[in-house]
Amino acid sequence: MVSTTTNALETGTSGIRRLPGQLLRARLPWVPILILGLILVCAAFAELIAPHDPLAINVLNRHMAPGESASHLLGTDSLGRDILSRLIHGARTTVIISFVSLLAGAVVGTVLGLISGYFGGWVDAIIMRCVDAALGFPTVLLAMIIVVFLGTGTINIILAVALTFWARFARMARGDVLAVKTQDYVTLARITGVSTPVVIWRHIFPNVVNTLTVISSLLVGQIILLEAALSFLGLGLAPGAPAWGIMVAEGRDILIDVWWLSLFPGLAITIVVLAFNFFGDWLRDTLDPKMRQAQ
Amino acid sequence: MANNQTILKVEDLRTHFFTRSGVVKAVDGISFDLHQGETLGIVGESGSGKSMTAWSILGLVPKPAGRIVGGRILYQGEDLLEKSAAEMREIRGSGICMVMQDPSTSLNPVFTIGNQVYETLRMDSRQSRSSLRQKAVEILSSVRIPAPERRLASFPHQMSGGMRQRVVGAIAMARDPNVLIADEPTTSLDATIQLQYLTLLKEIQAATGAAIIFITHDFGIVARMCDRVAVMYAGKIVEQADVLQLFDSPSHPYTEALLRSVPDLDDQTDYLPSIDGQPPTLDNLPIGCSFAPRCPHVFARCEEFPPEFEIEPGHQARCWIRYGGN
Amino acid sequence: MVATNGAGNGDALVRLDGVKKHYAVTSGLVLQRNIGAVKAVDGISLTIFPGETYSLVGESGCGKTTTSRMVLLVEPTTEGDIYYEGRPLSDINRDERKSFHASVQAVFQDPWSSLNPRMRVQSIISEPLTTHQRVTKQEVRTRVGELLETVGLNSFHATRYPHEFSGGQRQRIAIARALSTQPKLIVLDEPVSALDVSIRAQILNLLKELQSSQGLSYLLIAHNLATVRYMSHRVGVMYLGKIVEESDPETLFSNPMHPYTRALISASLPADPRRQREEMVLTGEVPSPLNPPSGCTFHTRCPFATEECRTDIPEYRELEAGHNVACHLY
Repeated sequence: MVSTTTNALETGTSGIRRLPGQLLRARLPWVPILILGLILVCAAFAELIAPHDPLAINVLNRHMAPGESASHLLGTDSLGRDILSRLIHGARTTVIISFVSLLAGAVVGTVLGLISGYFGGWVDAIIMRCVDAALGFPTVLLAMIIVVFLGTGTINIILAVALTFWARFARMARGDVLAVKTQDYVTLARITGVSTPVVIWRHIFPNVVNTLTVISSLLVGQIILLEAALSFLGLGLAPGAPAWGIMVAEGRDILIDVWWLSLFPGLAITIVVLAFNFFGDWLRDTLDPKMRQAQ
Repeated sequence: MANNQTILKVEDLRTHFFTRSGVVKAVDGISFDLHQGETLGIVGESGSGKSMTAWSILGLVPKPAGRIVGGRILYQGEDLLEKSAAEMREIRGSGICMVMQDPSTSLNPVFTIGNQVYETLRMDSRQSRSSLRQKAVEILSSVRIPAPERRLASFPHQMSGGMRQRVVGAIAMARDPNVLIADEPTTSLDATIQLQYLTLLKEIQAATGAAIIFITHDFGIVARMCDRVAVMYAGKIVEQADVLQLFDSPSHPYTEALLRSVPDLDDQTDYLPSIDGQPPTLDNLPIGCSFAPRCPHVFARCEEFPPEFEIEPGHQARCWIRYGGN
Repeated sequence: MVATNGAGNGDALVRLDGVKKHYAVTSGLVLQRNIGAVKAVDGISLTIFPGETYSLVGESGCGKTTTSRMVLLVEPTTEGDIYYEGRPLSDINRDERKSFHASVQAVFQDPWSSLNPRMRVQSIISEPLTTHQRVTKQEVRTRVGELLETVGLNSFHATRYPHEFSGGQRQRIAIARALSTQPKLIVLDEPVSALDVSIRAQILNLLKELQSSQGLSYLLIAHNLATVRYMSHRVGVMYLGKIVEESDPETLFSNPMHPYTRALISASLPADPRRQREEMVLTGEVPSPLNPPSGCTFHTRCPFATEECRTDIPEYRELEAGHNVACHLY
């Protein structure tokens, strides 16, 4: 039960327009931001930061434990490659794959969601059945099919991830469009003779962006996990490439004796995914307090 | 008019909201009496505090932001502000009932009309299923629901807005309350359905002797339904009078201007005198009279908050132009 | 046919001729069968003259808003045609359509929903302008400033966002937007019913002033009869998709003929406890337009209904000069 009076109070304080200011005034989640900043720096300047070449093999130094040598802080793997360097280069792989596939999925999904929600009818029916299919199809199976037909590689892993995640964007965007398109300003724009693409771009899209930003930040974690899982299964990059999922996989047979092989990349995945989730939660609470109440 | 026994007495009630941007005085020192069997109209615009007055009486001020910070609400001589939550629930169950603006949210969509009427009846006494049913049918037919036996099995969405609002009214009246608070109960209804509903409410009131607080912004409804009227502006009662006194000699510039700005169906005019400016925002009120920024008669004294001046017996207005027994 | 009107001058601006809007109701998932039609608007004819206000009154679901949406080209007609300056809208080319969109605008009920919260007042007001004309930024700024002052706001308001304004001010912005292409017709769909009582007269007066200074025509959709009387030159009373009575407001409200009009007047409560109206409390509710009653659709609620009303559809005819009624009583 909300009275008219409290409504009147709220309209004064929760204008959507004050969001940038709201973002600045809100308490920033420093820990996740620092972690994510570190990852981005690693990805950008891997060559400069990494103490060794991540691919340099030195069989004499294999299975060095963390701390055993000052030049290999986190130890070495079965081929004597420096684990810290591989982690730093792995950050780049992770960042590229997750961001590119997120972007591809977000663009395709949002466009289809906008079209689906705005036009409705059979267009909507077709797009939404595709969404159902995409959400219902096991991702790993999809990735296997892609890898079987197109082979392994960065592009194909991005394709597999994007093919799974576009549907979430499409569904979220469509839901928002349905709410926005009944607003009178959309009808008024049509009455004025504004063309349909302009109506969608000018009046509908800006009202969908907030939601999309929030789910993007929440989905990054899931995408990183998916990429790692695919790499772990050997469906992603070529074996030996510096990717966290592959590194975990390389250590699994000797986990008891040479625990550091799997532990450090595993920890890296966990920390980054957690950081993204915390950041996403914070973003959601700040940009869209209503969403929090609804959950 | 009704006999003179006071059933509800509100004294200097203050309900404030404590928000991040400051204190919002939604209800700020209002007093009125409600006599048995009479209808008191509370008139005001959105944000004038008229709904919050009702919620304060019912003990339903939204917490934690809202708090009653002062005053007394005497119901049958007892202060409602000192009652426990359980006691207030009981009073809401049978003493003071409320009909809200939107009938679609007052009824639970997943229960049948019958279930919702039974629930009310069960609250006060244990009865057999068949007598419950019979009583429910009686109640529904008392508000002119056609084929009430069949309607007991209907869900709210199967009824029209007017019918739903009558069911809500029936449920409230089934508790045989002493005070019924009706918060704009007809705003979502069409004109002919509104007239049906108002006529019905009058009949029920005549039969049960309940006192009604009718919250509205429509002077047409006030003229038809009310014995006394309190006009609210920015959380305060600016004028209070018997209905004939108010319409014959409106004594606060706000009431006067508002009455003149409403178009009249029986009169062909080319120009309506309108009120300048915008309704006040409660978090930024002037120190003196809240209406001063929009008032055509404003003068120096208005910077001071005006007390209540007695215009004639039973008729008060808070305006400095009435100073000196004018 | 529709009678000519004293208040109008010259040729009709907009004419509706037997316009219908039916929505098919289908059943079945795969093979859809039509099982009936909701007759939202069922054959209405009316004429709006330059510089005058034509009002449609009636209760919710009577088809008045659907009619206005057809005039605005938001919805196509099922049958019948709408003529704008003598040209049928079903038969206009792209350019004519563009110029129609520029010369017919609308103001809606809810000023919170009719302004995009993410656009500045300047972009909101200039949207019709930039859609239809090539204008420079400077021209837009000048024009928006003029428009804001025309509707009683200030030119410095142009850079603000809608949430910074109160309901009445937002409705003024919506009116400024509608005026930006110098339209000939503005559809006003309940323009004041969402506003505070103390603001309504301001907006109504503004609309009247604009009408006389700019020669605008209005199609006013409203349920409040007193507002309609104040604003209109001609009034059509709608019930279940049909116009049951039409006249100038003076005649209509002093000498109503159709029982439904009389019931509406009786339900309009005067703000004066000493004034009593002829009591005419209708029984029952508005029937569903999916299966409207036979004969005269009002017969289920009409206190004067006869056998004839149940079977025969009353003819809509001119009973006195400029006063049209569809009722068997006359």
